Amino acid sequence: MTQRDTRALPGLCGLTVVEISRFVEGAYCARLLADAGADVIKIEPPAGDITRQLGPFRNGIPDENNSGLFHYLNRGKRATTLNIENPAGRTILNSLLQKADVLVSDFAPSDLDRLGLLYDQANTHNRSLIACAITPFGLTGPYRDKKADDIVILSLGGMTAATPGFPDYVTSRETERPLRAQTYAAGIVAGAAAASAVIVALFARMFDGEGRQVDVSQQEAIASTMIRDVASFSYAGIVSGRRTEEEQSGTAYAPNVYVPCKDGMVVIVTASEAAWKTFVGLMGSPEWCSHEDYKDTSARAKNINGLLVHLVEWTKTKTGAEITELTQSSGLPCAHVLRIPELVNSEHARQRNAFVVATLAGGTCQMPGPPFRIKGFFGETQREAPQKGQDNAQVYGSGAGIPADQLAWLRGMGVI
Amino acid sequence: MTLAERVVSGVFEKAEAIKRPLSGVRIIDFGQVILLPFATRWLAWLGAEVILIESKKRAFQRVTPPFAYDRSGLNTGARFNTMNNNKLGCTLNLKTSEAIALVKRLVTKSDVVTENFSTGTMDKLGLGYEELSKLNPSLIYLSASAFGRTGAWSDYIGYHSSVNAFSGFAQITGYENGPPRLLGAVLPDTIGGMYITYALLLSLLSRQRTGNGAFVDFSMLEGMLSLMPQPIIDFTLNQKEWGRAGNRDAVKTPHGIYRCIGDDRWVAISVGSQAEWQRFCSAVAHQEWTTDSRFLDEVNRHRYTAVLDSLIEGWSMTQDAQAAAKRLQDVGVAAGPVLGVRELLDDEQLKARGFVVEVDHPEAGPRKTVGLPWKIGGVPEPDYRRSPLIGESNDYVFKDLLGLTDDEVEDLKKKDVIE
Repeated sequence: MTQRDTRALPGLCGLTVVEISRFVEGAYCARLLADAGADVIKIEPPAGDITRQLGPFRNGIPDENNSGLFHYLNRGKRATTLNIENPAGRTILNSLLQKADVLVSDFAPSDLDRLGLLYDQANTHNRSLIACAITPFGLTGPYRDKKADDIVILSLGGMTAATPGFPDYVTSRETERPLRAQTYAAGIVAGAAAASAVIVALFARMFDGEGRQVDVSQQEAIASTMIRDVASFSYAGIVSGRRTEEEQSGTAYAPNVYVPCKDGMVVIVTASEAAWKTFVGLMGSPEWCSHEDYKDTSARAKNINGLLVHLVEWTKTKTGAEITELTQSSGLPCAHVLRIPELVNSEHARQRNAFVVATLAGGTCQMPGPPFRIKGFFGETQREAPQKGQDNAQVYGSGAGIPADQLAWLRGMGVI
Repeated sequence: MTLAERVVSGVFEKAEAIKRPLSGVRIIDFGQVILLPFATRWLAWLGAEVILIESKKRAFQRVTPPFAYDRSGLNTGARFNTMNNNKLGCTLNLKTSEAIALVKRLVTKSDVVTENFSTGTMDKLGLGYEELSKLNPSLIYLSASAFGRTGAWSDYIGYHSSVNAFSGFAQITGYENGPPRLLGAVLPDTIGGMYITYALLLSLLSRQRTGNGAFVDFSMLEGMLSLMPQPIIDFTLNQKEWGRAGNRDAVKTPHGIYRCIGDDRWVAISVGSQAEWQRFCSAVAHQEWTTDSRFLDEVNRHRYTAVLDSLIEGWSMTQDAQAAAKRLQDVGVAAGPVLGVRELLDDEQLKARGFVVEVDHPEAGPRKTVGLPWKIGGVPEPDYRRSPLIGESNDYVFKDLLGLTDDEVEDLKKKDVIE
């Protein structure tokens, strides 16, 4: 499906989304809705979205219209600026909400309340509005008003305690502390979950015409990703993640390990006795493999430390690429760790059209494309991310019906 | 008939339709491992009728350990039972032409087909998109895999660990000066499951409006790339390669996970502004840090992160993790205890929201799991039900849906078509 299908079929075409977000989660949810064809009007405060201050920037020079993160989160949207705390600004927002299908927001619950962005308040302008709030802990419960950012949400969602995770292992939990990845996972994961929740509310609206409050908890979205660990714990009391090789051996077919090779790290997976035999063959059937200690998965799990010594002797003689090629061509799901340049320049990424090209401050770059491709209705939008306030005149003029002289006045007052 | 028409015509009660917005949607699911079962489980919670097509003889998913009560068997596996709530299950031997014919008949009565076999398997079975969309032109067909159905790696197979490695995600994850590390949380499968859910919901909604089916190609690799725009942009724009930085943030300092009293107890702390820094210092009773020239502003604190982190840990090691987090939250600083899976299922917020649920099972007993990560006003919570026993829905699928007689079913069992 490298040929993207952009026939003008609905998807979310014809739906209007107003996005008033603070950070990654709201912006990414609305980006996914824009990817599917929704008309997304992003409302930024007059000073601009916070993510405009975060890079990457070309040559590291900050520029509010050329943030890589901002472009990624906002491509395909229309951008406006509006001070929604000002009564005149609020009036404009209300008239936009009157015509909108969905409002996406990610302020703290108390701020959503104060700004009138919850369904109970916003629905006075539009009963069928779906108001989606993405918050660290949800709109209810004892943590509702606690403060959190990515590392705190990942920790309260169980992810940092489990990283490094199987088949990676730790030598000691004391020296290898809980670990976060260098991404905004709590924002992206919750944004993805929220996009689904919005569609569920659209289905419900189809049946009764009513709008609703959608309440997405980032903690729950992250905790949802812990499902394998939840299963092992609920069924057998097994705590996974940041275990020693000995503690975790026996929880999967052995060996399933993460080990060094000649030029980096590789994952070696054997998921059945047949797979193990294949792998032994690929190593040239060394003598140690026929030892009693390694005769079946439970013996190999029990003697995993000895097995690793032998195994690494072999992996150290080969590059990651050699091991991947050798094992994958025999149907084993082993892999080596790629550097970003290797991934970006790979034939596979090119053939898949995995990245979209954008221009930032005159420099060309690539960023991840839509996370899935659909043939059959609205495809991908290639519009670049908007400049700050670029669509003010259009959205407020023809959209909200504000005359040009009044727009100029509002601009002078700092409302837009 | 579309869903809305079904409601209008009275096939469904409106209240029922709102409680289960996907009522009337039938999904034929060939899901394996976590990726796809994760998604079809959510769709089942939303009211879709999900029919798993399984093999009894090669029920690999069902015999993945661990097991309830340490009793291995087809109905006691933790992994299968947790990933397949609310689904129906039937057993077919897909190596027989009769079984393939039955699947095709089922497809004509269904809305969605989902599969994540290795590339080419469904085509070889005669169950590829081209073939099935001829039988059912408005069919939605989702094909999920580690690397996608096209491209140089389309024949590679991979679990979450392979995708962590190939996406470059492992390369940017790890302690400073250490090797690349693998993320916990089987994130390639689970973020993938969320994208699959979204893609299918979109396809179903779109079909409501147009009547057209769709083909969805999802790869775990691209799902993981969606999490890492910054390192990819920095490389392609500036030829800059990101290293590993432990728990450090590019801007905020302090930002990290600090040891507390007890075995493997930690607190996550993130200080986001100068005002928060002042409040942080007074909350931990180290006012002198606010006037220390090394910590005056974010730039300086970033330069002296290592010194600052060890000073903070000097404080946190004398604190209980929950109490330390509370003390910081009380002054408006983002902080929280690091929860392991045991504490996660016991977390007061998750319990108060009804996110931790218990599902009973005749052979595995009552087991805790986690539900949908959202609430929708006026839409009741799903009924969280158990996974199917092996072959439990055979009668429903073969007799009620396909209209086979008792004799015909017996005959197919004898011929090893129905396993």
